[in-house]
Amino acid sequence: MSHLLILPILIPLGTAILLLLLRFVPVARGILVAISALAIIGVNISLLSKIQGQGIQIYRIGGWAPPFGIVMVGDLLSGIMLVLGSIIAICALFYSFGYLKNDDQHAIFQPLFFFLWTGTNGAFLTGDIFNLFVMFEIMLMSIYSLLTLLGEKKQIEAGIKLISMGLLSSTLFLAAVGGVYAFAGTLNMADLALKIKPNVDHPLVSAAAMLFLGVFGLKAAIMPLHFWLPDVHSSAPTPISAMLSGILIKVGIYAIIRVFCLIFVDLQGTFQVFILTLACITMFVGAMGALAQTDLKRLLAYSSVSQIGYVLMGVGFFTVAGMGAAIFYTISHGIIKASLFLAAGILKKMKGTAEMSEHGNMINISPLFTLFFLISVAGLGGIPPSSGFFMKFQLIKAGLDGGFYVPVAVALVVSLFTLFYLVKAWQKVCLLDQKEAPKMLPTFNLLAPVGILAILCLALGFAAEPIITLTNAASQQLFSPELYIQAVMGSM
Amino acid sequence: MKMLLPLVIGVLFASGTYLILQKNMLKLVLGIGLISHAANLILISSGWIGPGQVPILGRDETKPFVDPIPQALVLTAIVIGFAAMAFMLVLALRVYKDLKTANIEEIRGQRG
Repeated sequence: MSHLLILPILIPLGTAILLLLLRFVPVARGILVAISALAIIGVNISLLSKIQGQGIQIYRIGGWAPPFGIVMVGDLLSGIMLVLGSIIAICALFYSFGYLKNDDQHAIFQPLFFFLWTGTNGAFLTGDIFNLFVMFEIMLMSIYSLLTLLGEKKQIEAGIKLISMGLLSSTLFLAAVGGVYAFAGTLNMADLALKIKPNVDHPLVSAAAMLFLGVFGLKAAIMPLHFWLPDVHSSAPTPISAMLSGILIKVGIYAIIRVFCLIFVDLQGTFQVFILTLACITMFVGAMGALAQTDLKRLLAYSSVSQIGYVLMGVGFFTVAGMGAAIFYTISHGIIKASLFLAAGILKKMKGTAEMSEHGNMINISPLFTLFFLISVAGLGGIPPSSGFFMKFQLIKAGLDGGFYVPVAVALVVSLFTLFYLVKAWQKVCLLDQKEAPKMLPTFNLLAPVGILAILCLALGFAAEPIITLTNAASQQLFSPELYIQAVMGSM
Repeated sequence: MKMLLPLVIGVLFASGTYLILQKNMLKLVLGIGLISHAANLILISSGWIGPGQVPILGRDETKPFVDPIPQALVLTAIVIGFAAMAFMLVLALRVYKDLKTANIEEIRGQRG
């Protein structure tokens, strides 16, 4: 049993508490933030390589043997998501130093950000369904406060929408947990899988599965439950928008994968058509919404809805190749969308609004910005050699191999729309003329994270093969749930 | 007697849903509060095994005990729900002060 597995939760939690105590010492806070952010990413990367080398890692909190105690489980999917989360979080954190106006805001922002990080890391690592609920709540509570932090009218308004959504979804989550517990008498996910397998026809099982799909679908913003996302993602402070679109909606997808590939394995066939239908509608509706937007951040928020549909489609194939493609899509989309949101935040910083008609001529004002923005646009549009090409290629290939022709057709048509609205936005912001000069130029603090993420997107494209091998291995692991169960229960 | 708990849960869910569908923001908050209580009751009832006794060692161990885990869970859920509800009330107050209205239909600055 290695203690490495608990560090991704303990470090940000400890940092957040220390940051609260160091409220009035900006220098100390800056140093602490830098050290622990680097520590977290270091721990996450070493954790991933350890999982790769030695298989699924287990940590029993307090030494209590499962199924009685809480276990932390790190498999390849968790490891990949942890690393992705820390890359995006570090960029967002660095960006926040240039984005927030004064130190009062930093003093509240930083501890909340680390609480958010605790929640996401915990959600990826936990092997206990109730603990997952608690981690979700940590995440949501920090998001509620981070969203309304700057107190703009739009943010307060989005806040009331987000919090009603969040509270309702946690309520349903509790009801689902209650249902599962009444049936199986355990909360450990591996043990649940064992207890549910022989009784999969019991009505309570499919009811709970449906509830879980609804709850996680609400968090991932899947079509009938996507209504809150555009407001929230577009009005949040930009570093938080990047976190929300880059990693938080992926937590919902992660939970769907976890639940349907471990606990309700035998219900995959029953839910497949339903999930694929939702995925197709989500893709289409998100893209249609994005086409109509004039505000860049809002456009990107709708685009997130549409892209989540792609990921869900990959999950819905329930084949090894499809799941691998979905995980690769998650990584690639997380990086690209974070970069795009941070770029939109630069525009917002320059003129106080992200309305596209207010901006223009960026190619002369800041050529570097134009280049990074173009790379990310090409990435999301799926143009080689960026990683966006491989994410779409893998997904479509998996769909064709599995014989899912209708979803593939929808995905192809929607990707045309995606390219169209993104290029239109890029052209408006970067090429078209604009008389009114901006108040300020993009600073290094703002531009560097965008650049890093854009270069990562390119690098992922050039080095796609090792990453695809990794995601396929993760998917293989997901489709042999007995490995996971063996690792958790066998260690008694 | 066995029907009482499901009935209470059902009534709480129904009235919570009714309140959420109202236009007044305060009713929205109250409705969500009611629904979260209903969910807590569901959680409690998942460990309910008829007339069991308190799960403390040293009692008559031949009689059935009530499952203590859901009670621990529900305690966590109540605390979390309380914090979120407090935050939501403050936020609702802020919305009322900023937008001068408590009518949900008028809170739609962002469209499309």
